[in-house]
Amino acid sequence: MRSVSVPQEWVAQARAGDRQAFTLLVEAYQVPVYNLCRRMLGNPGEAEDAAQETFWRAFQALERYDPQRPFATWLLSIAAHYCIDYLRRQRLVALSLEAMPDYHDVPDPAPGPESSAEAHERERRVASMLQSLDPLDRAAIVMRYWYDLSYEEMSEALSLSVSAVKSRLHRARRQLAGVWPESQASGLARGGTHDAAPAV
Amino acid sequence: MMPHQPFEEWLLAVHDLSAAEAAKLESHLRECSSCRALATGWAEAERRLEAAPLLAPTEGFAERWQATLVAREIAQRRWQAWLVFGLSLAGALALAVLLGWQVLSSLLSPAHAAVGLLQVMVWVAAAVAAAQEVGLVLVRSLAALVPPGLWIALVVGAAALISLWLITMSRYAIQGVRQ
Ligand SMILES: [Zn+2]
Repeated sequence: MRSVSVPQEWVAQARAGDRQAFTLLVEAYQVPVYNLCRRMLGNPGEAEDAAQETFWRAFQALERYDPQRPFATWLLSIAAHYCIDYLRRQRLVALSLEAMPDYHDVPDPAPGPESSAEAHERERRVASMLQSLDPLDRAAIVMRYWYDLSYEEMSEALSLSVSAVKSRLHRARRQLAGVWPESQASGLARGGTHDAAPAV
Repeated sequence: MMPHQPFEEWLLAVHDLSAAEAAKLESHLRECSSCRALATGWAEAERRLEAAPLLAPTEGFAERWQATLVAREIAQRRWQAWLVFGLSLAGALALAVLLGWQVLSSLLSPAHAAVGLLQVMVWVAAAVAAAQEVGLVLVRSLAALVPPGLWIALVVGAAALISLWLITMSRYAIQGVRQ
């Protein structure tokens, strides 16, 4: 299950200034918002801060929220913009220090519910794939694969035209298709997994 | 070199292929190792993306949110208070500097300052007189046009607005002190 639906009254009550209602929204949407930040930033600590910041920004901007739009998409849009800006700022800092971060050295992902070495390795690979992408391309891929957003919803959430969303997705797919044989090779070099690439 | 378009495009397609397109793609893949590698790479990458779960934050996210909210609101109010204080202080300093400079210059050359002051007073008096003249002409012509009942209503309305403003300001002032 990748989407969350909450009673519409919660949103209305939160907009009317009910903090308890907003906390219910935080509880309902914490996983999708956190997951987006986590997939974008790759690091649990930064993802927690980004998710908290997303809810704070949403809380402050509730008056500007258009109830005609899905609340989840609005939250994801705030989170994505925050993460993209954060990554760009980080890159600027790194450039000014003349030390680019190593995008393949992804910080240790927290083990999921199935805390096996295999799941851990799968997570590490997905994180490494995502880290190889430009922040905006990464946001498009995350919104497509974890939230099943339509091109129109993505274009609204990322402030891009529909054709720009499509071309970014295309570019990202091309890049991910190229990354895969590399990460497979590095996986095999370290002992590897038993996954076999499917025949086409 | 074999042309890889539109096959590359189709492999990474954001739309579904027609039966004819799919057949053409399949025959191209049999001949072209580069497109085959792209197809394999993307199929694997997509499989991994689709299998990846939603990651959840550590327990207690909503409780941490409530703590964050309280802390941020306190910080925001404190920042606003400092902003108001800083602006008032800057205004007061500017006034003090201006006043000090005036006093200092009048102490240094009392005659010159007295002449300057006199000039300013004459100018202000002339401006006030001119404004009065214009105002009187306006009021007289308006009075001729507007019935007396409307005048009374306007005055009462203005008084009501001013008292409403005073009440609001005093309420804000009291609330500000409480916070
Ligand atoms: Zn080809």
